[in-house]
Amino acid sequence: MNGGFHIVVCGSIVPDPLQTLAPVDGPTGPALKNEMMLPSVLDPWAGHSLYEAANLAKNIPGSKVWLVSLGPKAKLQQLMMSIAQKVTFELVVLDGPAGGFTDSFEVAAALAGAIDKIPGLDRSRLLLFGGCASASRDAGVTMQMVGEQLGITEQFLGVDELKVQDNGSFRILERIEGGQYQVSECSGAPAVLGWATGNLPEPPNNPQIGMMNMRTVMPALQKAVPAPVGVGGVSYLGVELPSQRRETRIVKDMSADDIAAEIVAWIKG
Amino acid sequence: MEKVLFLAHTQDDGTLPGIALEALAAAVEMTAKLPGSSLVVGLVGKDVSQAAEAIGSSDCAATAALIGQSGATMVVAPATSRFSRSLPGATQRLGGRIETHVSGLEVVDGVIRVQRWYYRQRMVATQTRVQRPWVLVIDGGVFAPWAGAAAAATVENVAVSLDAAVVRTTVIGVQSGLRNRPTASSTSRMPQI
Repeated sequence: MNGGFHIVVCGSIVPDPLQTLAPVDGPTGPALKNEMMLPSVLDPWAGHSLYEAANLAKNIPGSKVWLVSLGPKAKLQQLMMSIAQKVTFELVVLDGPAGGFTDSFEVAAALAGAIDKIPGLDRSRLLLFGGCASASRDAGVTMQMVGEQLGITEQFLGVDELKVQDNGSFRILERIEGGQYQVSECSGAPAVLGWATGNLPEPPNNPQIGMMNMRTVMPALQKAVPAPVGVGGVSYLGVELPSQRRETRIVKDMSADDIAAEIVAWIKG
Repeated sequence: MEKVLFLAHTQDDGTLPGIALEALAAAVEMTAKLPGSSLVVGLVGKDVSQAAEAIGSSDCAATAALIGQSGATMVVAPATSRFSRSLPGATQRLGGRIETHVSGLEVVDGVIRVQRWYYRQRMVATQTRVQRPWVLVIDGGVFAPWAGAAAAATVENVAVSLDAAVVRTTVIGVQSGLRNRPTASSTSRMPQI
């Protein structure tokens, strides 16, 4: 592989999965209660794609990784305190809402615009990475839309493995139905890869990497471009927590055979 | 007045996947509830176009061509891996909008309302849009599979022009899952800020 890849990872923040989430009506549409106060994490699928990107860049000389993040600047700055210690990247910040109720069409347009303006980015060597879906909107459409806007037609979703061959082509495993993988061969960059979990563990914190990243992270945060994405054309008629359903029947002194027979009858319908 | 396009792709054996019949039931039900609307069926598969089979970029071109040619304002499709990969790009190409993981669909006073989950199924929203074409990708298990009687249909081929140089991906085949793959539950716990 001559010259390496230019890998752009799209990833932002989501509320910590252990937090209690409640919808509220915001001025521009639905939002989360105390959204700015909720602890946040890097979107898990996007995190996997970032680690895969860093690993790929490490193994292919001449490669470089950019992380393009759309989210509230202050929260992204907090996130960088941990993520920037894990892998080497250059940060591009879009200062805007990161909630799940934003319109994927507007988010994709903002991301594509930011990627288009990255100085020195070689589009012929571009691998566009991201999660196969966010943990907020969970639509699984943004990466394909960004790719389409950038004119990248080779798109892969639910990727768990990317193996680069000596000639620059790569072999990709994508999750499909039935717990199986679709195996594809792509002749080379540019391509869009929406990652599932990949194969790599979360890298440990490395303060040296953190120090190196911080030289570019802080300036990137300072010159963050406002990205006023919103609900787009969506009219939300209601957002609610699902009502709890617990249909429990307590039965004492029932034999194991009777229990088994009842379960079998239930399964058979 | 809406023109509803039911979009599906064939499997390797030429049949429709079960989830497609569920999406068809949704499309039929929605069309019936929208006065003056009509239903068109668009199929992607070997019989329609050899190049459209199992290749992501050509799936995108094929679905965009079908939606564009049909003049559909509403598109209903099943949530298969092929459509999950290709329909967002096709929708973007057509300047439309897309809703995935649709778990409910109703028509109230002529307005189509869609239900879908947010934040990993922790809250559910009911929403609508005015933009068209509006693509709805229906999750499995939401609608009972369509079970109407078979009837003769007029088939029109929609030509998809694909430059061989543009399609750079070849599908090699299918293989079983990897062993020892990290799961979302074991690896998704990212550092908290």
